[in-house]
Amino acid sequence: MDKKIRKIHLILGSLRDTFRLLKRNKVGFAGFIILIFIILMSFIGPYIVPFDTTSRLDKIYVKPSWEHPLGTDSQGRDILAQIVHGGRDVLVVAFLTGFLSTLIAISLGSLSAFIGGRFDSMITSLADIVLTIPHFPLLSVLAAFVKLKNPLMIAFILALLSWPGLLRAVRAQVLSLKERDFIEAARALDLGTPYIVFSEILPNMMNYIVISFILSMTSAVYAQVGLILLGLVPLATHNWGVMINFAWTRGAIFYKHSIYYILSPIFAISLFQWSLVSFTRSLEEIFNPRLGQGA
Amino acid sequence: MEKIIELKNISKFFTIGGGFFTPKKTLRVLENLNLSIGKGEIFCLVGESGCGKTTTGKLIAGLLKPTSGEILFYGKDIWKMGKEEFKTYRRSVQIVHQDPYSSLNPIKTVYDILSTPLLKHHIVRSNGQCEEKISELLKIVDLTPVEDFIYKYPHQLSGGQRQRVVIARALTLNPEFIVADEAVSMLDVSIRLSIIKLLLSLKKNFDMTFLFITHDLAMAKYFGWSGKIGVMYLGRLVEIGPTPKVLENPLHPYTKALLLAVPEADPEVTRSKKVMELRSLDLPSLLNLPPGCRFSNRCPFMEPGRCDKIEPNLYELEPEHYVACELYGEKV
Amino acid sequence: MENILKIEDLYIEYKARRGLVKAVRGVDLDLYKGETLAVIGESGSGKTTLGLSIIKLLPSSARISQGKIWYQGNGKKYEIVSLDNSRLRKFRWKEIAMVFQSALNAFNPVIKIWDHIVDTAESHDIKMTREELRVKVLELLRLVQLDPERVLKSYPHELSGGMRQRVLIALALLLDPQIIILDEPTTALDILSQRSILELLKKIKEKLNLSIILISHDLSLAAELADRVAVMYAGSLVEVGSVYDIFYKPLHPYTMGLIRAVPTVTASMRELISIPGSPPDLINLPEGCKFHPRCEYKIEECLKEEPKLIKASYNHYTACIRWENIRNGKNN
Ligand SMILES: Nc1ncnc2c1ncn2[C@@H]1O[C@H](COP(=O)(O)OP(=O)(O)OP(=O)(O)O)[C@@H](O)[C@H]1O
Ligand SMILES: Nc1ncnc2c1ncn2[C@@H]1O[C@H](COP(=O)(O)OP(=O)(O)OP(=O)(O)O)[C@@H](O)[C@H]1O
Ligand code: SF4
Ligand code: SF4
Ligand SMILES: [Mg+2]
Ligand SMILES: [Mg+2]
Repeated sequence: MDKKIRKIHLILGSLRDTFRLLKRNKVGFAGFIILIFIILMSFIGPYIVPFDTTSRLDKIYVKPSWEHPLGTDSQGRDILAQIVHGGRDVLVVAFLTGFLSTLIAISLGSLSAFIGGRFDSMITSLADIVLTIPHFPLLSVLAAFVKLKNPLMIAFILALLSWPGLLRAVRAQVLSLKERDFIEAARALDLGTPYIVFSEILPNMMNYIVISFILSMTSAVYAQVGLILLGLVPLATHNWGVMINFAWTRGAIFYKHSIYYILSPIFAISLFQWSLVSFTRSLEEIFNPRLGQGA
Repeated sequence: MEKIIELKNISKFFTIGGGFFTPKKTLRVLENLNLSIGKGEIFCLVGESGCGKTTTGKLIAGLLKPTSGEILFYGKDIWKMGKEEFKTYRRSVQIVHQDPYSSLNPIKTVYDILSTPLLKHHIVRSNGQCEEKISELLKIVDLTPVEDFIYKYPHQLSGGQRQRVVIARALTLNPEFIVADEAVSMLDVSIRLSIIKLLLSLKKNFDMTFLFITHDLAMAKYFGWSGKIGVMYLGRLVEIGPTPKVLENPLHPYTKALLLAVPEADPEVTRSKKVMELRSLDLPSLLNLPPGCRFSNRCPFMEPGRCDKIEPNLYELEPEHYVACELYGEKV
Repeated sequence: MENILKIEDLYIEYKARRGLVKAVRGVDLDLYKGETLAVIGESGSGKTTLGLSIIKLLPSSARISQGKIWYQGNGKKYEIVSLDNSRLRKFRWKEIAMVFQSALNAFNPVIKIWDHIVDTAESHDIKMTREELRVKVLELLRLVQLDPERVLKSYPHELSGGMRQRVLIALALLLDPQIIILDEPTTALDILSQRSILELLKKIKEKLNLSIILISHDLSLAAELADRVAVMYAGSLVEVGSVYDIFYKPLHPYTMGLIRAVPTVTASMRELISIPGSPPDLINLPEGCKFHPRCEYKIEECLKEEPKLIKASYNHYTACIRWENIRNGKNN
């Protein structure tokens, strides 16, 4: 029992430490707060802020006011409500893409480095091939065959294209960790390859993995918006990318009152990207001192 | 004494290069190594950096496969064993590395480090038993009170304490044989001896067999006084024998040169040494070995036409005391 | 005897994340002209910090918070701690030179030795034409028993560790300094190369009438080369005396412990005794005598105040209040 309490204390203590380290980098902490805000807004916001999709011709492009803090769009609908409702898909696709591509990169990269030989050269050549495929042309060809309306599908395809960069990095890291004496000791203790890879090596790369995961989320956001802008994804749902597309095609550049319409989603996306990138700074603070000598 | 490990004509070659621009080369890291270690014996392997000590240790631990030759464990060739038998063998030989900083996973606590092998190989049946066994191990390596250490991370321990955890980990699977590869050379002078004494207590209490790899002759003497010593030079054993015999009556010119060259922590002893003048200060590269005896380009006793032509034979000059030098050729 | 260097009550600390590392505390030390003084101590005891302060080349996180270092040689007199940069430039390498710890591995692998020498000369502000430099370097390389033509054209990896160390020693001698500080000059070297460096140091010291400060954790180096030995523990000197006094009549429990814990090769086999515990954390030092947690002679008084170096006999100083008991072999 005493041991259990100690363990709980240890966990609580390390949570407290984590929070302290999180706060240490001011920019990183700001990123963290904004990230939380964007996530809450996109997932809980839609239940609080209603989105009236009916067109109101009397209210086209009204300026920001109390009633419409960000003004209205070309059909007189509230922009703020659209921002609140349009985040979820972007976030989900970014997260899923990041998750899937990191997962592929890590499992293939670490196994490839650990097993070596033919398997290794196969995987690395596969990665090289995928790296050299031009993405947008491939996607446009793909779009002709598959309907890219499901966010899961988009995430899946983006992930299939974006793992090779991280894979190479993971492979290099595993190759160097593999030489460490504690890995040799684990082999002498016959702890098994899966244990060695997933329990001894990967946790030592957590900082790297989490940060790469977040960075691959940011590139997934750009890829996604790019696809929407190019019209490769049907504009059925509401999201920030679709908003930019509408604002663009429905005259934003011609009509100066539409400035809020086009800038709002751009700002939302930029803020999201900025918060992710800044948050990685805090993550570095959290992971590094512990992996280093423990300050 | 029953032989626990025997190396028969072991060679280990590495190929390096072989890219587009670098031609493939063969590094003859170990050649024709023969040695045997009895149960409960201490075998010290000494020699200078790069002579192949670690490679020998890894071969014995089953972590590397020899290019040719046999490694026998109680008379059985380990590379002809079945998969399960080989795994059992490998578990009974454990390694203690040199660097206590890289031999423990920085993100695992002492508890994690010790419990994993215990649970994985069913040495213990329950968590309760596991904790008991861990405290027992920590007591053996003198990390007491146990509660002060069990939940610590490696970075919260000093170098000597880490090395004790490494030793405790090596003991988890009740091995019969420990390869201690420079296990104390990175530790401070004041810590070193206590780790050596801990290892000696394992020999005494558990009849542990040791391959003690070191470049420190004085440590080899202290640790291996009751056992044997093997002197290595560029991948060959040049002299093997009981430790007191080799150190007090060295036969091979290289062993003699080493013993005369080593500075000692006693001003009168060290200043009264007459250093042997070598013919060259250069250690030849493994890629470009001199013909015949590998020491021939430096050896002051080199006999042209003989030493640089034939590989010296191994001569047994006293019981159990072997030397690979043609100086002793005629006497046999 | 003539003083060439005098360190007075020197304190140095590093700013680190966890707090202030008190790396050197209250060091008083003299260096006599023409002598070899060995500073020995365990890893982290402050030896390198002390050495760097003598040429005022401490890293930016370090601060000399108190103390003076007087240099008097070549007809000049300086107080080093207060020297400004332009005066330091005239002083460093010309009066005192240092061979840094692990510089051996710090050679840039892609530039040849000659270019390395030119770069070093430039970064040390050495005002010599290429031709003058070349002439001087050739002379020095011959002095350190290297073949200058071959060495200058080689890449670092083409030279053995011992040869690289010779190049570094030659470089330190470039401007004919009066004092040379050698920080762990043979730690990374093999026994035979180590011996050749030791013999070389003896030779050039005689020839150039140098004063040498030898920094090492290795007692045997001090036993071999030193005239006097200063023992450092947790940032301060605990004992200073002639090499024979230190090894045969130590008056500090720490020195005694070190000597009893280090084995020798050629002397007869004796029982060794280890020092319990480990050195203190330099951020949170214990009260009073810093050695008390490990000291078998400790009495209550030891915890009150940190002992200063006391003169026990001619040229023999110890920082232990119980030195008389130690001398008389009594512990009660
Ligand atoms: N995997 C490898 N591939 C190529 N060469 C290797 C490999 N492992 C070792 N070597 C080479 O084999 C030689 C012997 O290495 P080994 O590590 O056994 O020496 P050692 O006696 O343990 O030296 P040290 O005292 O420096 O630890 C060295 O020249 C080394 O460079
Ligand atoms: N740049 C630095 N910043 C912070 N602390 C430092 C720095 N350099 C050294 N220290 C600390 O100062 C203390 C003394 O270090 P120093 O390098 O002088 O020891 P040393 O006796 O030379 O040890 P070694 O035998 O390992 O070379 C150590 O505790 C070390 O951790
Ligand atoms: S065989 Fe010849 S060269 Fe080799 S060690 Fe003996 S005497 Fe020297
Ligand atoms: S002063 Fe006291 S504690 Fe310090 S060394 Fe002397 S006897 Fe030991
Ligand atoms: Mg080795
Ligand atoms: Mg140092």
